[in-house]
Amino acid sequence: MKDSKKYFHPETIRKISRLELRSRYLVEGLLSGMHRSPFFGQSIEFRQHRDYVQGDDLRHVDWKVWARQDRFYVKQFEADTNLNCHLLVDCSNSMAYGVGTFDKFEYAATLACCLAYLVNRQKDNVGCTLFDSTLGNGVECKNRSSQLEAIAALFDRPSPDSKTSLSSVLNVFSNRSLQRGLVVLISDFFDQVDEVQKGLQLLRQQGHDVLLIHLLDRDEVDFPFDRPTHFEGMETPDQLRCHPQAYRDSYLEAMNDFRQELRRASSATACDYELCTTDMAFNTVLSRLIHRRKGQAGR
Amino acid sequence: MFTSLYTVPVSAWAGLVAVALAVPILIHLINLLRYRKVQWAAMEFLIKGHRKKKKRVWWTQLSLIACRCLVGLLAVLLFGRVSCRQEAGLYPSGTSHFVLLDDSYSMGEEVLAQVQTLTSQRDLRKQSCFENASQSILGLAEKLAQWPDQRMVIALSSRPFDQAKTFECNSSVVERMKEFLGSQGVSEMSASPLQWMEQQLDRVPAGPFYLFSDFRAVDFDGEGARAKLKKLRQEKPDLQLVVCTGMPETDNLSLNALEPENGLVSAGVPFYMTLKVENRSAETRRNIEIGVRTARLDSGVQELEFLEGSPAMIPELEAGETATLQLPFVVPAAGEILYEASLDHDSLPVDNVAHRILEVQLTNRLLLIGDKGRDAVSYLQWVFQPEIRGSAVNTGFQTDLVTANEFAMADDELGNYAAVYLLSDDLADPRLIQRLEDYVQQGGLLFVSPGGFADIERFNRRLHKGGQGLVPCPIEAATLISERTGNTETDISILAENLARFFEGETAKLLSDVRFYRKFFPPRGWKAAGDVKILASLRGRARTPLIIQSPFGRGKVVTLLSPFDNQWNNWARNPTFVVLVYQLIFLNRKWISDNELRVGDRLQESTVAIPKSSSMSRLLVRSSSSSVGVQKTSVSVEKREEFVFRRKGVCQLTGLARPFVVGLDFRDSQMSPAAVEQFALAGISDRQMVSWGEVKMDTGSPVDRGENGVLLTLLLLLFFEQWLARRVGFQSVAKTARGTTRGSEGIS
Repeated sequence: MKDSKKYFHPETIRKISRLELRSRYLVEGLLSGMHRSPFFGQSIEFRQHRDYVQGDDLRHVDWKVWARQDRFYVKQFEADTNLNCHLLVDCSNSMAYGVGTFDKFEYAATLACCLAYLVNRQKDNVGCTLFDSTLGNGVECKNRSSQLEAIAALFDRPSPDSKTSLSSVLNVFSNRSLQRGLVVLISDFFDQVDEVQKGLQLLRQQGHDVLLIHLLDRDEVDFPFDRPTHFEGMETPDQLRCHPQAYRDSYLEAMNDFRQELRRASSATACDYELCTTDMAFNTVLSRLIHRRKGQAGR
Repeated sequence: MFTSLYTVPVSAWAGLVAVALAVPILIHLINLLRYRKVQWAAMEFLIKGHRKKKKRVWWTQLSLIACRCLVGLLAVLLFGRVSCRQEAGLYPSGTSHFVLLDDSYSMGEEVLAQVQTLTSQRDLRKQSCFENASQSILGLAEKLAQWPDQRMVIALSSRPFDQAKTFECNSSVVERMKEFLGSQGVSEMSASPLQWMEQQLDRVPAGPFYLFSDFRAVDFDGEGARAKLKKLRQEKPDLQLVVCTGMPETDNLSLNALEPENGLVSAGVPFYMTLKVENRSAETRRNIEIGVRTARLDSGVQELEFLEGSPAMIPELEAGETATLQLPFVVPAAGEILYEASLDHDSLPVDNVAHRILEVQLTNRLLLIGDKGRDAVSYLQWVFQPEIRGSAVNTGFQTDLVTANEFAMADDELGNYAAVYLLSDDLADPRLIQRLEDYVQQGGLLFVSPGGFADIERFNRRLHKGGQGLVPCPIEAATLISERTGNTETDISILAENLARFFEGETAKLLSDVRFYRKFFPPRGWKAAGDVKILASLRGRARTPLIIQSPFGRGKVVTLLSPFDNQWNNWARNPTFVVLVYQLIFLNRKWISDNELRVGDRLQESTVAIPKSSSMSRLLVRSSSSSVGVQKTSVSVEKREEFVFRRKGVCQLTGLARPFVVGLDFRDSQMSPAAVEQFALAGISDRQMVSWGEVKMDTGSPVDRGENGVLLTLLLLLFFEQWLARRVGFQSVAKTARGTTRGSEGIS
């Protein structure tokens, strides 16, 4: 907890505090708020009539329709709910890569805290869970003032030391979360894409709105090495000694293929996909995310 | 190839080569050891890319190392060459520099030369080619004196190799050499340097060879000279030909030819000499005087006397033009005559004088075959050797008379006779016909004239032979020709163009006096074959052939279809008859080319074209010769046109002969510098041929060609290496701050 404030980046928060984060779909919620729920409940906004069945509250019978048609209809209204936002942050070994200001894990943590602050500020529930090959420590979805500090404290644990395994993680997560909501997945996704797709499908089947933030280091995108280099795998025991420029083209081709596949998998499961690199400004990334959500909610 | 490299120990070069080969390999190995370690997250993709390109990268890296080794090797070779050159001269101790100095008479020609004065300013002054050469040799010796143990051997082309002088090149060499060269001069008896080399080149020591000469066409043009130059180049690879002529004179005229016109030169008969003067300067020259002198050689050498009418004058000659003068001469008596033409007021003496020795025959001998005592024979004898007022007149002909039998039996050489004249009617002996046929077959000229009492049938059988004999047409019995009525018409029409011009003007009046009374006729309907020419015909109904010329073997037969007898005609008494015979002999001599150009003929000449040299061939445009008057000097002007050849090879120039263009002429003054292409064809490179002011110690032609090739290969290899390095990614990437991108794959 000693250095948890660093994830908030006040300057970044100041820039995006005017923006609203809205969910694309109606989510189930107990409290009335800004977000429309897919479930019908108490509300002032009429949605539709249905036939009266025995046991229905007589207060909901539309007497004007009975007077005109001599049949009983029950009025139904839309209900406003609270947003449950689950932040899933990858803490596997591969997230430790980075030679600049942030490694990928630090960047992911900062991004997660920014999102948590936004959600918490608009009185919605936010929770966060770390994962590598398994689902790790986490903070449950709540809306309280100390929630943000709890989430920030989560990232103060020791460096990641395991392999990414998204399929099993998402499986466990979907079993554990009862209420539907927004799931933000921040990872480098260095896993089998079809396994990732299976996990995403699981989340979507449970009605979660899923946002993938594909986080890569700039080196992983551009591969700018020019000196002979001995590469050691961070998650695998593979080693390679080569002149990187000789293989740059083929590496970039493989990496681009991977990104395309991941993008395809996300669109196949109706998930949002956003690629960002560790050298991008947070406000840029967050603004882009919020605008994208806003646009989709308006449709 | 790299001759100069041999002067350095082999082991040193081997070491350098080894280093050149080892350096790229070592750098590659060191690079292998200098790997930096990186913990890499996206290993899966890197491994995938590595598997895909592994083999190709391996091969490219191998090629790159090989390429770099080769670059190193070539760099060492170049370095070796350059370092050797820096040692100036590159000749090891004890090297003999052989100098062959042309001291022929033409080297005495004074030319404009740019010389260094005491005030270190360059000045133009006149000095001889020999002085140019001496100055250049001194400069060369001075340079050689800066290097240890160099020797210079100087030989003169007029003296054998044994008399060559050897100088040790040290601090006092210039003084000693100056003294030696100052005591030398040009020699009239000197042989051409090529002749000297032919006899003595084997004795010349190995080492650099310098030939100082003016390289005149008379010595260096032609196939033979080219072969000798080629041999010299092969035997002496360190060869330099040093041209010692200076800048062209601004007022130079050149006397290029003094030749008799083709034709008989006999005593008492006028003939023409052709004299060509070329203006080789850059300005128009006016009132050029050419003195012509002569002397008889058979009566002991006399002082040359100016001929009547000398000096001849050319009023104006533009730059680059060649004037042709035709000077008439009459030699009263036979013998050897020396003619000399000279440009007395021209600055450069070498090409200002032309000589010609002519052997003038007393007469042209004619062999008459006829029966002694016959009128026609005596008559012709008188025609060719008339006596007027008791003294013989020289017509240029002398006749010998033999009977048909004597001719048939004899086996004398007929080559002394200009022509044979068959007048006899006695054709019974077949040996007579056979001998005549042999004579004509070998190129002789035969006049045939049937006699008044000739047996027509035998004549046709023996001489016509159904078209296979000497006479091209059979004849029929003689017929009387009616008297002509008007005075304007002439009995004879001269049809041959080359004869007609002699029967114009004054001679036409003489020709009109000729009367024909009787004549033999060819059969009706007879037509001359393609190669048979009708030279003259008769008027009226009888406008039938009178003189027929036909080829037979290499010679010609001229058939006159009328005996020269008072009963038949009076032509023989007319002065035009001798002129006719004279011209027929002249025109039908075997050395007269049948391919003589006529107006409208197609002109074609071949010349060797070498574009690298600034060679040009000349098309000479000659004025019409029809303006040539009898016994008058005529001047015709040849204009030079220049062709610059852009492609190497044999170039054919073609055109049509216009009235003023009758030939293509590539000749030049024998004393002018030899054509550059001669040297190029002999394999002498431009670097091996230098002016006397630019002599270098190292010709280096074979070496430099190699050097250029190495440099070119090196450059190509460097480009290839860069391309390979870029392909394999061995060149450094331009990096900016961390996280900057290369390529378009980056995301924004």
